[in-house]
Amino acid sequence: MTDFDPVSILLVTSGTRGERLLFQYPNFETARTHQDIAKSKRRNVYSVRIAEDVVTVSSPVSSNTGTLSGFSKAILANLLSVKPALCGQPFDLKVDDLRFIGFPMLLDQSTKQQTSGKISHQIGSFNIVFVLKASVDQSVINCYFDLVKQLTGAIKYEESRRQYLSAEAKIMISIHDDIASLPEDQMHFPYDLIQTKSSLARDLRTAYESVKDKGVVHLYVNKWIEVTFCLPHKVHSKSSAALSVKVNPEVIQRCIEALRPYHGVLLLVDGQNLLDTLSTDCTPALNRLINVIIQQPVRSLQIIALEADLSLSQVFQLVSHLVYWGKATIVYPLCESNVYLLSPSSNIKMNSKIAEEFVQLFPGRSLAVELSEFSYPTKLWDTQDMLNKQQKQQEEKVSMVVWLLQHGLIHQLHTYVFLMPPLKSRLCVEDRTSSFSDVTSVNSDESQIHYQSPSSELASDGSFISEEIKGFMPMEDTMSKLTREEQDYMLNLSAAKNTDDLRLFLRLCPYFNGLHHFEEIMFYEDLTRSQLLTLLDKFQDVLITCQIKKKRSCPTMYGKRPARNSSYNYVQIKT
Amino acid sequence: MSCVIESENEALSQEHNRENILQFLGTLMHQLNKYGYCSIRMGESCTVHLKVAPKIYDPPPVQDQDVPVFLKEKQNLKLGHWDLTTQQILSYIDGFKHVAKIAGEADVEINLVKSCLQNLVHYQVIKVIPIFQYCNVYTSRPDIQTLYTNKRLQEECIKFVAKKGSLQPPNFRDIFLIYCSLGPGVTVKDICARFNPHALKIDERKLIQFGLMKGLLRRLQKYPIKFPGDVMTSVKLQQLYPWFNGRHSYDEICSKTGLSHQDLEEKIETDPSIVISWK
Repeated sequence: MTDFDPVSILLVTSGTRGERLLFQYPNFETARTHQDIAKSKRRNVYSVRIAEDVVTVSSPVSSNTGTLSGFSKAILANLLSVKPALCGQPFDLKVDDLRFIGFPMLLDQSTKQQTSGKISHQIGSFNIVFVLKASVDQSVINCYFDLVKQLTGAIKYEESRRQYLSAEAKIMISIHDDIASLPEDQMHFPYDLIQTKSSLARDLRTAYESVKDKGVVHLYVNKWIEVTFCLPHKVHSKSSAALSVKVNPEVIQRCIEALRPYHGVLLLVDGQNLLDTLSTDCTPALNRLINVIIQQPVRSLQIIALEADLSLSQVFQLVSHLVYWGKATIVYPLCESNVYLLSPSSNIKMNSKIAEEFVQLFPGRSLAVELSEFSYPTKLWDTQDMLNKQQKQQEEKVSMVVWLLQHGLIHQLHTYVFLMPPLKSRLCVEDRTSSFSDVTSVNSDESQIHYQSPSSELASDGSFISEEIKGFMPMEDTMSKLTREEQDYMLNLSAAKNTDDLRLFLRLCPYFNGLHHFEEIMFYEDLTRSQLLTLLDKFQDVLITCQIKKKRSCPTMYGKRPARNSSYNYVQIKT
Repeated sequence: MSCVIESENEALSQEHNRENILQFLGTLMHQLNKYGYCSIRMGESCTVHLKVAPKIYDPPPVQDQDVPVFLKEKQNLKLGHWDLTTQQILSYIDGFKHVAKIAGEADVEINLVKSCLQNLVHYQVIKVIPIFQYCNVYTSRPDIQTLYTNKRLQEECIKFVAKKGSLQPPNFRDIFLIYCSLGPGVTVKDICARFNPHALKIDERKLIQFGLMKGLLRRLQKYPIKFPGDVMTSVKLQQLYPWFNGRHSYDEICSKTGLSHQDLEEKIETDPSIVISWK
């Protein structure tokens, strides 16, 4: 049991006849015997219990079993049925190592009295409570608030529509009373019986079990109101077959914010299956989008937007939605130059479940062997593969890479570029303020010289151009952070003699800070890979490239397009 | 606590003290939320000290083959601060010796050494890094970008990786170039052959050490995996088969079986039914 799994779900009502705990799942009284044995590992038997305040009574919770067994029904009912003032807002109570998350709701008395004035017992408020471990994160708790709010809202609506809660409560109370009236030796716990009789109880059980199993809840309260919920912590730790990776929604959120049009989307579940499980009233745009993704897997979002006839921002939102629900992941679209490497968190153990799954999909192959191929950076299509292998084999390789990506066993490497001229004297990035003033002074000097004596000091045409460019050097960009010595060095490179190359190089300079990978530069500057590679080759003396994994948790790694200084757009080159 | 305050100030029973109580509770909540602790003065002799204890997890256990490295300057450490066993160990930590060796040299039982080191890891005095070997493979992590932008880190790096005895500090570009050249399939030996770090006034062992300490580098471990298949091999290798299930790295197998890295490598190479994954 992971930390964010619920311990229990409870239904408490309070009304004219006092508070009652109507339903509880799972049934701890019956399960207690073996759970006690399983979980009775004490932290330290000899630990001194620090004497608490004199007034504190010893707590009723058996705190190390992780269950609710220490609470009596009456205590729970009393604790969890709140005063009307607290209704309609999140309810969060911590007792020792358990945390009670609810959303108490007041029922509208006026409407009830008109329709059902004769009923002697009236429910004033009710509270559905998830019991969690106290150690869970606030973000998990917020997610549970969402779920509980949805459930409560649905039940309240159904109550006002057809007295759903009252009817269900009646069933539960009668079962409770029946059992209480039985002689003591025949007494058993009422919750199992309630589940067979009451649909609300079954719904609550489903909610509890599906959160615990899958992290996703999809049910109809009273076969009418839809409740859908996803616990991203659970969903994402499940979806990666990798060894346990802790994912929290903040990271997912940041990844989503870092979406770019050149990214592709990879479904983690069967597309048709996903379409079938979609809610009936979901937006048709989502249907369209998923259909496009099924037909043309791993295209860039830009192309998907065109194909599905949706705006890019809409595609972004829908894809974020899919990612949040653990149905899809973001990858760079498959292309032959992509380089993949074994992910450090991947599970390469023999005979694991995932290995069997792999063999079923790709008979005659072994997961461990295929993974060992990715021990070294591997291109999607090696040139040798292109020549030797048949079309069919290539297709198999692609589908294998897709499968490995889906299961988080491999990740893509990207090439980043750093600008660093080989000069002994200094470190590469200057203090921002000093360099700024330096450059402005250089600028003013330069332009004065230039305008006062246009050509007298400059002998050759080439150096003249260089000086001219320096006059218009972008101040906030990477170039400006270099010293004059370095600028000189770069402009004296043989490659810089070609004005077109130099122009392109200067245009790309802001990307050469290790925050932007090849694919991103290509996309933003509308270049082909070969153009970029040729340029980098020409200026290789001042550049360092590095092949690393994209930083997942940091949005800047995906990099926004660097903000250009306005002056930068007006680099003028006279020829 | 409330009893004391009550008996001293009649805080609850006196009507005019109500406001103080409200204010007290407000400050209490505010300070606990903001700082995690509070000290609020209540009357003459009573101050309420409260603290929310953070949840502390044990650092992962230290392995035989791990190497402890100081995170701070060794001179700044107060020796008397630590227990006797730790004091005995501290002087043997030089950033290159692994745990088993330290235990041997300091003549302390190895499990004691491990728990002492684990304790030091908790106090962030040391960090454990994998042992340095020339056949090791490292790869740069995305954090390498911080080395490009962070000037202070650059200066620290230059100072740290400089070869002992050389007068001039190494060139930062060379250091950065070596970091960027590290990657899957490139051993430290290859790097040394390509760049000759000694000529560049760089101590390659320190270079790797710095990268690991600052999280710029990640060690790629080698995992042998045995496949079912009948290959005639030596009995000695067959005894090792239980290790080859993808859970144990070379380092671990070596330290547990007492084989040297090279021996293991040679043995495994003779058996075609073993594949090797790096991760």
